[in-house]
Amino acid sequence: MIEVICNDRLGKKIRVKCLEDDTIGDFKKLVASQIGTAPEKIILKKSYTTFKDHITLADYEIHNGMSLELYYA
Amino acid sequence: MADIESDISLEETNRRRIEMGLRPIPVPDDAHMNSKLSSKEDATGLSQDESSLSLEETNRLRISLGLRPIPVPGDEGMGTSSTSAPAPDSDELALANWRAKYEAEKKSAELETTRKRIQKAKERIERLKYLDGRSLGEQDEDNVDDVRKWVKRSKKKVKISIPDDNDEQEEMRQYTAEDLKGLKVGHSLEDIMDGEDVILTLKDRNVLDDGDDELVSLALEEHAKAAQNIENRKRKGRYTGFEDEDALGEKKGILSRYDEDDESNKEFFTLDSEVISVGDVGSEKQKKLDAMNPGKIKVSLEVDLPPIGIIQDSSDYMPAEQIKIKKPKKSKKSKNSRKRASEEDDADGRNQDAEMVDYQPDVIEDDDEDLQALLSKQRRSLQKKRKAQFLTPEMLAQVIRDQSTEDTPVPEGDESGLVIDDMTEFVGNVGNSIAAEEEEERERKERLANSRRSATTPVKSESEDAAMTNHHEEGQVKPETEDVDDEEVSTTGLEGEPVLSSIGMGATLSMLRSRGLIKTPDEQDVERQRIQRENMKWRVSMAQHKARSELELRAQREADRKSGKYDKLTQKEREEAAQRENQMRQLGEAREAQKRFKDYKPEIKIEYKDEFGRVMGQKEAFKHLSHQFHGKGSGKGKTEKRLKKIEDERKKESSSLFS
Repeated sequence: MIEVICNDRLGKKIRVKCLEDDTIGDFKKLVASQIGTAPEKIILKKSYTTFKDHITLADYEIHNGMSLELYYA
Repeated sequence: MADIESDISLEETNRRRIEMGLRPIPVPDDAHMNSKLSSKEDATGLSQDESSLSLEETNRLRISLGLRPIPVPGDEGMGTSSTSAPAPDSDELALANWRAKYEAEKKSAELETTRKRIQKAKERIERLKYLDGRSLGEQDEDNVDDVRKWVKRSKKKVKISIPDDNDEQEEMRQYTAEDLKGLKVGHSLEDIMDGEDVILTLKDRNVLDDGDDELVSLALEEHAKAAQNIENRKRKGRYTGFEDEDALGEKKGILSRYDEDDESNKEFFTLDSEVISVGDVGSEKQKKLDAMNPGKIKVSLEVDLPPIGIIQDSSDYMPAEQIKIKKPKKSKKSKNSRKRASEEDDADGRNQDAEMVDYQPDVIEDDDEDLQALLSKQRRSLQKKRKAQFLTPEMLAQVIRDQSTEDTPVPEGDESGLVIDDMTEFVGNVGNSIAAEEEEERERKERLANSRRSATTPVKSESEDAAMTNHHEEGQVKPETEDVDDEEVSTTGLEGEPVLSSIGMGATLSMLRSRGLIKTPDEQDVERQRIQRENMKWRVSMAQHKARSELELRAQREADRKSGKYDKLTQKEREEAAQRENQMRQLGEAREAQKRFKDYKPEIKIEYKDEFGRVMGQKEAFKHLSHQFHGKGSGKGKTEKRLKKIEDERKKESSSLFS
């Protein structure tokens, strides 16, 4: 289990527990359930790289304690 | 602003995950406990909570679904054994691969080394083939072994060698034409059969070349080389545009002039005992010759041919005198006339020269330097001969006399003719001019005296004087001009000078008018003058009126103050009243002015003047304006021209009075 921090810099900062082999889509669902936003509206980025839904966190080399940028479409 | 991190517990997360249909996150710490708990709960049947889905259960579920079970930290050993199986497998595979490759490489390297070794051995064998038998050192070793053996052997050798020597000597004695059989001679038969003794030697060759020996003559070879060089030199100088083609249009090689002649092109023949077989590779001619006499040409090698030609040695060092054929001397005629003699002499020399030149082509055909040398030598000899002739004093004198007579042909009737050339004319002129000058000097003096007496205008006399001095300086005589001057002095000409001293203003004006310095007033001028006068009158009247009105105004103000008209009023009221009055007055004045301006006809004339005060014409004015506008004047040349023009104008104006 890893914990990933998502911050939208507008007042929302969440710590999400997940697995490394979750896809970004799954991760978005978790985030959505935690912040109450539809998962389709969530965009996750890490310095200009927008993460795609069908790729796992491990493949993006997202590890425990990393923070991602949270945007809304 | 510090963000408040919102976090939810693992249980919550797992709950939500399950809701979403995601795999719950395994709880490591609680895994065993959970499982125990869950088992207990299972046992007790108290499992309502979703999050209480045990790891084992989930794993089972996952396995049933075909998913990877979540690793449980407790039984890692089991997991590793199952999961880490493929990884070492791949490692092993890699290792195996590497080993296989390593083996293969090793094998190939070994093969390579063996192959090399074999090759080396082969090469060595190849090399040693030439060194068959015993080497010198080995022989020595054998000998050193035993002194007796060596002595024996040496004795044997001596015994054997004596008859050998005799044989050789016999052979040497018997070396005849027979031995020359089959030898090749590297020259054409023609070259050798010139009738000279030719010494043939074995041609230099590489030792390792195997082939027949060849006999060559060093002298002949060098001769051929020299000829070739000359040929090359001739060819080199010329440049044709078609370098790569021959005269016949055949293609030549690149820079063919530097190519050495091929060996194969050389003519040769082979020697038999008595017969020489002529062989030839190159020339067509030789082949033809062969065809004509199919039998072999017979040349005796034994016979020593005597020299045929008388020409012994046609080398370059032969003195030129030997080939020069001297003309038999002509019997000299009695020298009656020296001139003819000299002519004859000349002709003689020339003839000789010509004849000698005629000989040249026979002697030397192709070498220009030699020709030149020969010619120069002949010339020198000719000169010497001439000198020798002239050296006798009598002849010298004669020659000199001849020359003098030839150079200046003096006609017989020397004094009778009149010769006119530059010199005579010049001399004559000098004499004449001197005479004329003297005469003139006298005249001038007289005239001067006369003029002083008559006291004509000093200016005139001065100018005349200047003119006279000029004449004097020039040394040229012009009596006609002098005469004219005299006439001018005596009779007042068309442009006679009017005398100003005794006449009045009117006459002066008239004179100026006649000169064009003052124009006569025409109608326009009169009109203009009238207008000007009116204008002046108007201006005067205006000034008067203004003065009067001012006076009136002052008087009125004085009157007002005295009457105490404004005393009762306040300051403001007083000012207002004054203003009103002023306005009224100004209105009246304006009306009056309008009336008066009815007959105001100003003369308007726009004149443009340059920096010298000159009135500029339209063009000039425009140019000036343009230059000022653009801030750029005309160039140096134009400016100078303009300045010169202005200067000329000024001069003309200033000097026009008396010229």
